[in-house]
Amino acid sequence: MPGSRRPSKQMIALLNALSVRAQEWRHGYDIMKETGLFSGTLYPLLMRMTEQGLVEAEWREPAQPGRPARHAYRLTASGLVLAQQVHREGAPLVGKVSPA
Amino acid sequence: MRLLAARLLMRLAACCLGRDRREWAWAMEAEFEAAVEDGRPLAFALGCFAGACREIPVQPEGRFALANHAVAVGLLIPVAALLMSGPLFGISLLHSGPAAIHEVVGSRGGELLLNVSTRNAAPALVLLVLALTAGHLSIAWAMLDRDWNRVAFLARLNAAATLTLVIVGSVLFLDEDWIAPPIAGLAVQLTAVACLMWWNNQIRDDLAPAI
Repeated sequence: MPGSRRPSKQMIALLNALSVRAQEWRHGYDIMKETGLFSGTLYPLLMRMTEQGLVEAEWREPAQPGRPARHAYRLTASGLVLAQQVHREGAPLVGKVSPA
Repeated sequence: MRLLAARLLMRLAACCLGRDRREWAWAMEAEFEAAVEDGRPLAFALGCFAGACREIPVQPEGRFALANHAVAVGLLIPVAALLMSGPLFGISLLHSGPAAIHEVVGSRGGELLLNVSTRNAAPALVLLVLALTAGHLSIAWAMLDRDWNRVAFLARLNAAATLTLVIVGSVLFLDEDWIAPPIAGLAVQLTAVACLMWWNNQIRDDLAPAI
């Protein structure tokens, strides 16, 4: 479960991006473009959040034949609660963040 | 060229992530195709590589790999170099006094380690020290290969070579300080290798259910 520490601004950006359409599965590259996070920031964050039970990951069939299956992500119920909590505690981040 | 470099970085990133993050490596590789389509493969790959490098100390397997490389490159190879420097240049790890095997065989003045009656043993001593040097280098190689059976075998050989050095030194009535550094080196090396082998077994046991 997540600790009591306030999430980093990168994590907040990710929570915001994933909570907009919470039921929708999102691909890593799309999240990168939306949040402005670098892949080197996004993937470790996704790994950590998946381990903490905030994000769930699933392999999705490719949209185009001949392409590899892609990992898709969405918030779990706990992740959604955290996203709402973060949203209540402070103004939501709008737009992109500076990658770490 | 940029695409090739990017693919290479992706492979390196996958290696850095290790076995228990393999699925994440596949996830990154799948997204890499999207980055290629978007015309930013190198930036994506660099990010993945940097992220994967940061994950190394976080994972038990990564910490082990770092420690393994540190012992092999930071301990065993310098000890081997110092051992070899004795016979080659007369630099003193092999003894505490001013004489080295090189000096016995060679020409420099000062107190000799071997006297007239024992100097015939010099080639054998040099050979033993060179065998120890080769042993250290081989152990370092085997450790990086993670071939622990070979490491154990080579460590036994090194212990035997050191013991032989002690016995030969005693027979020749050599200054006991002469043999202390190789014994100390061997003790440190065996302790480090034993710790790494124990650690490796722990990691293997932890990963066993997942494999």
